[in-house]
Amino acid sequence: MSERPVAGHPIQRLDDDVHQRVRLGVLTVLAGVARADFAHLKATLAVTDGNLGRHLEALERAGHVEITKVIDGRRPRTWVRITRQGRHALRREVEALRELIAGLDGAAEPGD
Amino acid sequence: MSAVTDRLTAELTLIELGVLRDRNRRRAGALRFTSRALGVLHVATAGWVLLAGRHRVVVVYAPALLVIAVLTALRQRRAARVDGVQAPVTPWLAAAGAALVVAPALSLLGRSLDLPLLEEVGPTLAFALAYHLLGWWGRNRALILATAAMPVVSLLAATVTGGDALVAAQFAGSGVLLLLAGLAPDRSHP
Repeated sequence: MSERPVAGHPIQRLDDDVHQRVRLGVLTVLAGVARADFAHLKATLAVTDGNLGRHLEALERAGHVEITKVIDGRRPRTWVRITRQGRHALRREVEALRELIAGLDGAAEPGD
Repeated sequence: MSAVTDRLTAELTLIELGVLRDRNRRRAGALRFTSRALGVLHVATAGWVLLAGRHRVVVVYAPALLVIAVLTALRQRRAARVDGVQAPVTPWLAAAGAALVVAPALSLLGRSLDLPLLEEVGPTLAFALAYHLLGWWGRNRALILATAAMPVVSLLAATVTGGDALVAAQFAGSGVLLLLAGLAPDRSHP
C-alpha cells in the first residue's frame, strides 16, 4: 500500500534543494551576514571540504546562493552570499517545519 | 519516516537554526565602531544644535549617517578578509534611518500641537527606541543598557533646561552613552 501525503500537509512544502541539514545551515549562516567564506562555513557547520562543496554547488544550481572565487594575496578564496530566492526558500522551509511540529502537537489546525 | 521522527528532526533542525541565527545576530549587533561613530555624531550634533538650532539636525545627521555606513562597510569588508565573514551594516542603517524619519515627524507634531516637551524630547526618544530595538535584535547588552538610560537623561535634562539647549543636552548625553556602548567588551563570539 503506498502512502500519499495528505493534501496541504506541511511536508509538501519542504523544498528538496533546501531540506538538508548542511544546506539549511549554510542558508541560515548566510542569511545573517553580508557574505562568508568557505573556511568560515566549514568551521561553523563542522563539515568536510568535499561535503560542503557538494552542498554549495547544489544551492548555487538552485539559485539560492552566489559563489565568487577570488585570489586573496596568493591563495584562492571562495566567498558565498545568499540570494533573495535563497532567503525566501529558507523562510518557507522554517515555516513548513514549524507547521509540521504544530500539526504533530495536534494543537493547531492543519495548514496553520 | 514516523511522525515521532518527523517531529524530532523538525524540532532539532529549528533549534540548530536558531543557534546559528542568534550567533549571526550577535555578530551584526556588535559593530562597536558603528556605535562609537554614532556616539561621536550625536555629540557633534549637540554642538550643531547650539549653533544652528534644533530644526536643522537632519542637514548634518543624514549625510553623516551615510558616511558612517560607508566607513562601517569598508571596515567590515577589511575585517572579513581576516575573519572570513562580513557582518551586515543594514540593521544599523535601518535603525538610524527609521529614527531619522520619525524624529523630525515627532518634532513637527509637537510644534503643530503646541506641545514643547514632545517637540524637544520626542526626537531623542525616537533615536533611543530605534537603537534599543536594534540592541535587542542584535543581543547587544551594552547597547540595550545605554539606550535604556537615554530617556532618563532626557527627562533629567528637561527638568533643568528647555529649547535648543535641551535638545543639545540630550544629543550629548545619548552620544556619550553610545560611545560607552561601543567601548564595551565584544561578546559577539561566544
